[in-house]
Amino acid sequence: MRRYCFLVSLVTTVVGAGCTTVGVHEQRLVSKPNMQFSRRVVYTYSSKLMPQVQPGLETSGGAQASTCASCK
Amino acid sequence: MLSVVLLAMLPSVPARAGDAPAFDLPRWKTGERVRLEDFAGKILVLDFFAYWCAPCEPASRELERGVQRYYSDRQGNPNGIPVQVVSVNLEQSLPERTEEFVNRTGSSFIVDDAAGRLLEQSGGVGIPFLVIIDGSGSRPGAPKFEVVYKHAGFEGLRMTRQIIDRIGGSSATSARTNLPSPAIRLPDEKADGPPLVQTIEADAELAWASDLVLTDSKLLYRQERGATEWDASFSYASFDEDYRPYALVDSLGTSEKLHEDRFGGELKLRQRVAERFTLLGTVGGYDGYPDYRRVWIANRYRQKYAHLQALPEPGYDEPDPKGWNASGGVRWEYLPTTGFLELKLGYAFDQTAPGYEDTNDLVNGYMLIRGRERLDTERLTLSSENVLTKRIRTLNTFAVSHVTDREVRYSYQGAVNLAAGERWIVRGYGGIATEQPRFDAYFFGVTLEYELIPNLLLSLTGRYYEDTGEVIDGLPFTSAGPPLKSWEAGGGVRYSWSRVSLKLYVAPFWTDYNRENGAAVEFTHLYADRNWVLAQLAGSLQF
Repeated sequence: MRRYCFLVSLVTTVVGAGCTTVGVHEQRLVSKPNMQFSRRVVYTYSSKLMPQVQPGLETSGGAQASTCASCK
Repeated sequence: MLSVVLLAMLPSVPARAGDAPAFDLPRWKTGERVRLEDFAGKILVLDFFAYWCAPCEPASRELERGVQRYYSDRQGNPNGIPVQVVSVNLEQSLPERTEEFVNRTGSSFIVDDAAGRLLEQSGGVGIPFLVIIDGSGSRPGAPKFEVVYKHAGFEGLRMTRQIIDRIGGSSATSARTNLPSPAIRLPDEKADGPPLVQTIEADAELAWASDLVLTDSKLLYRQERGATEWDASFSYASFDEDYRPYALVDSLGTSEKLHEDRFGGELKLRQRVAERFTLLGTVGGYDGYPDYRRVWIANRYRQKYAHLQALPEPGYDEPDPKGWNASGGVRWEYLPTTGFLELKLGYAFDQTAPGYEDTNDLVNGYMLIRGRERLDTERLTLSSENVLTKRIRTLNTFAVSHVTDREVRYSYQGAVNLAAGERWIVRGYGGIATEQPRFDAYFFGVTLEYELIPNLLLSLTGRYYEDTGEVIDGLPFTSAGPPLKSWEAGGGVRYSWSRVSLKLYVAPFWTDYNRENGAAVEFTHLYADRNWVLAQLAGSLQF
């Protein structure tokens, strides 16, 4: 099941990407600051504290991702 | 910020002499026809822009100030050829926004290219896009317009003036190739290089429950100039916890108020090295506990084992958690402005607060076994960002990570941003993570954004998270988290004014642990169901 999910998401990404090019003059809406996957803190909804509570979010890597101190 | 990066790193088109495409475009506002042949005998600088293009603004402003006015004051370039900057507006929607843009840049000669045909004919794949056309050889009845330079992204006044200054000289059509060597510095080289964009960002986040208060704050300075972008940040986190032992009568535990701090720093560099390739690098470090659960768990072990000083090695040791990380990668723009692929490799070292295990057998007697303190993590991340239609932008991220003594963790996160209307944006995301022998997590969420008035946005967010519980190592008193379900519902507001942006987001969320199997007995209160409130405050200033 898990492998199936990964496969589906991978295929979706590959198929969905690069099939068409949107002209520059048509990119007004997708160029809005809040339409982009911005690194600016005011335009992101990700939380730095949430991965502490929800270990599956795991964004920072390292032992931060493991959370459980004694787990192997 | 991303727009600056994406548009600034657009591919440049090699400068080469060639016939300029003819055009017949309406002048902005008046509709008066403007044709290529109107610029016979002049040097024409075409500046393609749209009001929503962040890096276009400094480029247009610089071109008006440092090219149009500069050469007007001098009555042409050094060879006496008049210079005219023509700003080409690609966006016809929301003309009031274009007007605001023009007021800020001071652009004086603007034409409309509604369908983007001239941009396309000029070979433009992104904006800002600059084309310099030599029309000095044109005569009545014998038009001759040659493109001597074109480039996506503004390379600065110095470069632009050097090209213009050489037109009409001994070798006009090779203006770009006759640039002086870098050793020959112009007096105003530093000031007239690519525009410098500096940003200061500050954000603070708080998660509060009845017995826990967590904070995480960061201050960041970012600098972008031409092909180089870097930022440095300092972060601070705090953990305040009302620790409680797992049983009312616990000879090895007492209630305590815990406080811990974590300090961190990070440096990031993005360097464009080719037309479509940017190198990425990050180094960082921290000193302190990485999360609130480890503060609680470490305190339990301290209360339980710190007094057993007489035990043989490896017995109890005071934890000193800290770590560092480094990563490198490359970003490839495989489709101009619409398709990006990013590959990153990272390593992290963590000195953790270890876990402990009691053993008692006939041979060795009672022993306290300290778990692994030092963890190495290798991580590979592949992400793809795409503009699928003129309303949809997606981001997909795959990650594979491995931590010492554990199985490989695979994770995927997908996000889609949909411009549902002029004022509505729907942001959806979801993801899964899995690690053998038994950890699965999935999550999804959606955010609706509505632009109440220009520059003021309201948002509503809903999220759900569920996992199967952390990987359990078989210890009788494991600290692994039990299966968790969590919900979040929040609202926010964001205001942008000129170069300042502010955001406030508040969201209650709930955690519900399934402890039916009696997992983590010693950490009953750590894994208690809680009602939380999450608050985020962020601001940025660009100058």
